[in-house]
This record gives sequence, structure tokens and C-alpha cells, in this order.
Amino acid sequence: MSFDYVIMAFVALVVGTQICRFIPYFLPKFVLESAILQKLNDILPLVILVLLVITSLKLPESKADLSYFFAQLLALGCVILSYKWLNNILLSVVVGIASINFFVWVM
Amino acid sequence: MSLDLDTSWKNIVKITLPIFMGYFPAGIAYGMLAANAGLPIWFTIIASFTVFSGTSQYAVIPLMASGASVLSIFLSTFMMSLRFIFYTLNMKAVFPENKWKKFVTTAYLTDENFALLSTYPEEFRKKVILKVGVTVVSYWTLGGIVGVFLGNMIPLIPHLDFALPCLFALLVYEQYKQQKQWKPMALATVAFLIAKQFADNSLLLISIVIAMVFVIALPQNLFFSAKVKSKARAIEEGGE
Repeated sequence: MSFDYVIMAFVALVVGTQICRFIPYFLPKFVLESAILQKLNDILPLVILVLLVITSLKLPESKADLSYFFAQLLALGCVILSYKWLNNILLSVVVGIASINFFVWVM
Repeated sequence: MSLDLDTSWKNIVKITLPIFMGYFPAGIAYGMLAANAGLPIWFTIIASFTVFSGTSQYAVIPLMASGASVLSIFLSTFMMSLRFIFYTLNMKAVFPENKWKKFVTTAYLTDENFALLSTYPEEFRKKVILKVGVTVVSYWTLGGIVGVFLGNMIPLIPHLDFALPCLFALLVYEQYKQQKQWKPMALATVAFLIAKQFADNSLLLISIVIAMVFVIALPQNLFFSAKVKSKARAIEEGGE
């Protein structure tokens, strides 16, 4: 990871996030109230988060990878259940890492 | 419900304590993951108080670790942050008049402090909005700093990189709890499968663009029931 890349990524991250907080100072109200923007705001965050889950998983390329793929799905199930029970992000992440190690060992 | 309208720092810490309980461990998780993904320490810590968005900061870890394009990073964080537009719109009336204070207040508006401030009367909000922003960003940054150092100290745990899908799954669950809609999840899967047919690189970016086209082209009632829509609108108009 080169220094230039980190700087450019940093700028993209700061601008990409902060621009949304400052847009209402610059854009006319009719644009902010447009149906398309409302629709994107309603639907896209969940879409992107699901895409982040999918792209961060190791997807199966062959039959041999299937057991690892299912181990990941089971571990994610444990993560959600533990979060419903404990309501603590850090603990649920720990549960997730412990679960994936367990399921990989079992399967 | 009786509200404590004391504007002292002591009371600000008291009323933001529930946010601390969420931000501090989540900040530790962020710092540890960023450290393990090889992101520079300075980047991780400075991002905590210049970006101040868990979703964007978590999302950028795998993107940077895989060398994703700067455009992918910009587009995905921008799309995930669109909701902030509505927070600023709702809170604009109570922002400080001093331009620097207004700048800091706007930059530190998040889901949690928006939700907290929404429960208080406008006059109180006006007096504490800056203090609340500065206090909660401190919680988040402190968690990040602790996480970075823990991440560098803890020996390599097998499958530690699986922490990221875990975090994203939790964020999906949180978002789903609010919307109670599975269709955006189906749309994401379809967009990914289409993108996978003709691209190997920049899959996330291409999937987002495909999903955006679908969202713009399809009617909203395909995704949300009238009841959910009217509830969302009422919340926006009521500022809660």
C-alpha cells in the first residue's frame, strides 16, 4: 500500500462521507426533496451493506470450497444470534471468529 | 419522560453514556481490523475524527486492503452516507451561528447523536449540539486508538479477517431492523450476480452502479410498503 494511494483513499473517504453532511448548505431544496434522492437514501444503504458482506466472503470457486463457504454462512448466523442476545458488536465479532474456526475444524 | 436539561459537560457525558457503550467497543473493533489489514496507524486514527462514520470506515478497510480504486472508495462511502443529508436538514435550525462551530457540528452529526438530540427540546439542542458532537467523536476516536494498539499487540489469530464480514452482517441486521424489508437484500444479490458475469475487478463498484440503476428505474412501492413509507416520512418531518 503506497503512501500516495493511502492519501488518495483518505481524501476519497473523507470527501465521500462529509460531502453528504454539507450538501444541504449548497443544493437547492427541490433537489434535496426529489423522489430519486429519497429513494436512493431509503434503499441503497442496505443494498451496499449486503454487497459488502457478499464481497468480503470467500465465495466458492469449486466444489472443494463449498465447505468453507457454508462454514462462513453458519458463523454469520452465530454472529447475528449472539448480537440479538448480547447486543454488543465487539463480543459478536469475537463469537464470529471463534465460530468460523470451529466450523472449519468440524467440516 | 423527564429530561435532564443541564448543559454542563458533566451532564453531556451522562446523557451520551449509552452512545459511549456502543461507540467504544465498535471503535476498538475498527482499530483492530484496520491494524490487521495493514492500514497505517495515522490513517486509522485521523479517519476516526475526520470521517466519523463507522459504516464508511469499516467499508474502506477491505477496499483499501484489496487495492480498490479511489473512485470505488468515494462512491461506496458517498452512497452509504446519503442519510446524513437528512440529518443536517433536520438539525440545521439548531446549529450554532459561529461558522467554525457550525462546521464542526455539521461534520460530527451521526445516526446516534441525531437520535439522541431528537428526543430533546429545540432550545436545549441548540445549546448542546456542539458539545454532544465533540464528546461522541472522542469516544469513537478513543476506541479506535485502543483498537489500533490491541490489533498490533495481539498475535495472529486464524481467520481474523472474518471479523469484517461479521461487522458488515451486524450492520445489515441493524439496517434491516429499521426497514423490515428483504427486497433491497435481494436486489444486492441480483446486482452482484450480474456484475460477476462480466467483471472480475471492481465488483463492488459495478454492483453498486447496477443496483443504483435498478433503484432509480423501479417504483419505490416495489421496495417499501405504503405503511413503512408513511412512517419514514412522518419520522423525517417530525425530526425524530
